[in-house]
Amino acid sequence: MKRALLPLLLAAGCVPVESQTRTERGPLLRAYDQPQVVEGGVRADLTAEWPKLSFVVDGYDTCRVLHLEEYAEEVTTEKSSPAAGPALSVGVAGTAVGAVLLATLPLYSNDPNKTVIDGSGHYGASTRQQVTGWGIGTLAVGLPALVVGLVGYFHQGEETVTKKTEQVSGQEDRECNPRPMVGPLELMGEGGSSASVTIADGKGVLDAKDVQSPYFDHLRFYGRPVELEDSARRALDAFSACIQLDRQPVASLELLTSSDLFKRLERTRACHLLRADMEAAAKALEAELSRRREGGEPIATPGAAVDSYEAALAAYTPKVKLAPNSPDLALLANAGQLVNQAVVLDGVVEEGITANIGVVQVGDRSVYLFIPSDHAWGGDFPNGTRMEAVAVVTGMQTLDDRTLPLLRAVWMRPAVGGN
Amino acid sequence: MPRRILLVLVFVLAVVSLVACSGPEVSDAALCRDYVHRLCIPDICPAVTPIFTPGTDCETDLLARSGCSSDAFAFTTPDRATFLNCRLPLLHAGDNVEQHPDCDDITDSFTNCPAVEQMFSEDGGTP
Repeated sequence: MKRALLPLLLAAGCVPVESQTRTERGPLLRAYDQPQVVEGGVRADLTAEWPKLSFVVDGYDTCRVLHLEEYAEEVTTEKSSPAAGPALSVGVAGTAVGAVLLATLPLYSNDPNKTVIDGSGHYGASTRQQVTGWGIGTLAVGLPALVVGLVGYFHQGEETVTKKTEQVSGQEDRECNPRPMVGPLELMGEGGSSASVTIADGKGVLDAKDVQSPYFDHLRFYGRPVELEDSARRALDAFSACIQLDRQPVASLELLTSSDLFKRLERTRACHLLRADMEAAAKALEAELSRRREGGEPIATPGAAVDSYEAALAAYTPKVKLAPNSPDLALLANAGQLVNQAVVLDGVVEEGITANIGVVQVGDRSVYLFIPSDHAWGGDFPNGTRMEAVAVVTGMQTLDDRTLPLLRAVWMRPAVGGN
Repeated sequence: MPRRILLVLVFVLAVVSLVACSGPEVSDAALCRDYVHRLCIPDICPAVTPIFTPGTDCETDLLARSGCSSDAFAFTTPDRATFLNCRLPLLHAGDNVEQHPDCDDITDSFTNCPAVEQMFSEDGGTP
């Protein structure tokens, strides 16, 4: 039996059967929900009472409800064998001819062909021998072709299987299983871990003196990020700012650069959330900055946060106004004297020279305006647009044989009432 | 797997071809007579003329000299294998027994096989 099956299996391996499957969705059978519990997260609430920072750390799971729909699905497989037809033709013809030749062997003479003696000293084959050879040869070709053709022929057809299939139509996630956490909570900054607090029963307290590095801005619990509400984030930033101020005392504000004054003012304002005594320090810093502005020092620090035209006016307090009919416009005749001065520019965009340098017409004068690409500006500025800007004069610039004063924009916007 | 099946098929066809293409082995006497017959098919080549007695029938004379007119003839010197090799040049024109060999092939056969030529000398051919 096994020997009989072997040629069939071999032939089945030879038969190229092309298969095409198409899937058709049937009607909705049912819709149901499947609840799951998946990994959640860790959340912390922070309360600061200088010099202590208290943590309440909770863990939670995510309880997910999958909305599933079950459909009936029909999978139809179409099988075809393009080789089956030709193989059957060759197989039937070859097998029939071979069988007839072998069946009629007794009719042929078995006498050798004595008209021929070959090089090895043999007579030529008898007619029966020759017919036997042809018969076996045609059978050897015909039988496998017949089997291949039959296997291919019976493999052809269409088969349809109906099965059920599920599809997720939606999901709802909610926090569940809240629990107080136990373990080490780390305050992290760019330089790595700044401090570690042991959390027991979900609670822990950190003293400012136990912080190694005051530069931290997020928390990690067993390597996982800890979620913080806005209020908790502000408390964390304030705690960091207070430690920085504590560890960087300043003998005299006059010794600080304007940039450092700004940074210290930012920290002082942040720390004020925890320490009421910081209000006086902030006022002292603001007074020092104001004094420097009054004295004409350009407080145009790269780090100054400017996100609006008004903020630019407040931060740079320009004293020169370059606008049509403005008396200050005459100062452009000697732009070298205006270098590092903040100005208000009111003009019309004349043309773009490069991706971030354009020519602005102000009255009867023109200036180059350099527009740093790292800003999100308050609008588009095609040629002919009337615009206003707070800018800093950087000197004279020659581009395309044209030498004009070059101004670096701090903030710019389309002019109110302009075209 | 299909490649292996193809090889088996080719092998079967090759064996069948070999079996179907040749008949039984020819006796030594018949083989010798075939050689003589091919030598003596008219027109007789110049290389053959000196080895049979003038005025006699070529085939009759050479069969008598070699002794292979007798069915009991058997090769001794040369033996059958050597004789078959020496006969090969005569088959270049064809293996039909009535095919006239090329005269150059007869000359080659004699040149390369003096033992065969010796079979047809007056004192040779004794089995």
